[in-house]
Amino acid sequence: MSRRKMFLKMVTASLLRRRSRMLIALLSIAIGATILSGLVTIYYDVPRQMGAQFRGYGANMILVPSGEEKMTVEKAQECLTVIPKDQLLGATPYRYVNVEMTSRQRTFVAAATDFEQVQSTSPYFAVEGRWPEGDREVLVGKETAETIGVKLNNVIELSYKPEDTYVKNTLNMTVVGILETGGDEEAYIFTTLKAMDALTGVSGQLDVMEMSVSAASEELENYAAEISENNSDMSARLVKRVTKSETTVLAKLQSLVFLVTAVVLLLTMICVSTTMMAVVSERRKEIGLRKALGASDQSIRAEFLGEGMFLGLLGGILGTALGFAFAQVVSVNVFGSSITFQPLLLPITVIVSMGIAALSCLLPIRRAVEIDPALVLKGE
Amino acid sequence: MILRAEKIAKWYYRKSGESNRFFAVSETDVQLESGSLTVLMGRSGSGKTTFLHMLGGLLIPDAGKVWVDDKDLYAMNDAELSRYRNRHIGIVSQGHTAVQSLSVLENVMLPQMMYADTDRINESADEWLARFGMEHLQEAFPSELSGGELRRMSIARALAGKPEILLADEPTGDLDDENTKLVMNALREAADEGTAVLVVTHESDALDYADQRWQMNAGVLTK
Repeated sequence: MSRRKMFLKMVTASLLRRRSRMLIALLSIAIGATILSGLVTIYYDVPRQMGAQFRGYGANMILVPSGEEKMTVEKAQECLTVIPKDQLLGATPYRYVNVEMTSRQRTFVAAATDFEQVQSTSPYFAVEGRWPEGDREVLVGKETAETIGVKLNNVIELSYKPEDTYVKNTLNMTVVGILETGGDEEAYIFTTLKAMDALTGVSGQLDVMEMSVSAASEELENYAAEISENNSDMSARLVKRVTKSETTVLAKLQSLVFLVTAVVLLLTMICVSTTMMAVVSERRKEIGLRKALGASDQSIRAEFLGEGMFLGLLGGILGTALGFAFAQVVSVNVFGSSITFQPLLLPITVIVSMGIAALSCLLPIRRAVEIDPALVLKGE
Repeated sequence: MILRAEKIAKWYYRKSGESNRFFAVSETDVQLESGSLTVLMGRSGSGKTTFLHMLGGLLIPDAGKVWVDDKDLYAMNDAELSRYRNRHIGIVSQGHTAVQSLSVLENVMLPQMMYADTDRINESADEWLARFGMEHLQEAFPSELSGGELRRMSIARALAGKPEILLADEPTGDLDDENTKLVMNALREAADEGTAVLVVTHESDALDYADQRWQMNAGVLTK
């Protein structure tokens, strides 16, 4: 038998002989590792998950012309290429024009847009009736609808007089939906871009492009800066209200994750340390004998450290698997989507678990090294 | 090899302070030489075990030095002293001490396995176990042995490494007459082969095997 084999046998046999104690230590390491790997998984996945949740509160970036000139649809599309397609959840163009409602002799703001995109960038827009499907259908904001007494399926006449003519362009539009947002949008009338082009006689112009991008605050800032740098006539800005609250919530959540992980790992250390102290007390005679036979303090340290790290290894592997299951349950129940396993998490959890186990063994090892063989062999 | 104790002493303080210094072993000069078997007799509590531990590098004397040839045992650091003890000094302790997680054979091999691994270790351990009638217990664990068997196992453990100095504390304490003879003959044989053997005992039978006889009373050694 080789020395290494005997060392391994002593470590494993010692662990097996004290199964119940070691099971407690192993369980506490596994629980610590579970919380560690589970929370770290959530920690790294939360920005993505929370980003998706926050996208429900509206666009987080807007694109506007930096000068007096209007923005063209082509220019806006060009700017969007900076943002990776998988991160761009929606981009809604808006063109605002003051139009006259002939029958009421009043002027309102008409917002021309792409209704399909609106639903992805502003999912909180609530429509009574339905979304417009054709160019002769409009949404009327709730406030406007109440002011002018318009109801679903009413036909309204919108007119616009271009500056360079004396003739008004007029379109008859059917109200297919009443829009409720709780914001300024309730004062607008929403049409398609095509209808607005027909009404104004000018096509391809935009005032603003609202974007919903699934990215962290810093990344968003980088995209905005890149767009503004590449296009001197365009300016990309973050919707601070949304991005700031997203960053604040994430920072608080991540601090909480760190705190909980730290507390659980501390408790794990206390539990493992107490168990190993009891093991040292039980093996006092044996340690004394081994010292008398020529074992150095270093070899006693190595043996207990070996036992602790072996427990850390097992607990780390077990904890990684349980942690992933834990993170999956949390993700599915809280965010409604599953997460993918990060392979790097296994070595990280195992190394941290082994480190925690090694740290927990420091005090018991000190006790073991301090055992006086002369006292033990005398039976004291 | 010569083991020499030079004015070694060990004392303890009682609670009332330095005036009540209690000597476990009073200042003593002794010498153990290769090829001799020395028997140290004395009553329980007379300081025999303390004296043996000081000679074996297990207990630092409060005064004096222990020399092995020209090496001051207690001038070495822990790693050096541990290795030296493992290589040159065999110790049979008083109680029933064994590593519970190892088999009888592995326990006997343990001291030699600490710093080396060769097949000869196995042979030597086999031989000593056979000699003490324990060949059938090689794979057994210490918890399955009787007191006498544990005692013989620890003597086999000390002898298997062929130490140059062998310090045995009550090596025949749990043994019947037959096994006492077996063990004392083995110790005698080790001395005849060049080992310096010290047997600490309170059994007068051991005196028949001795080259030197010492007596200890209340920490004072007389030759």
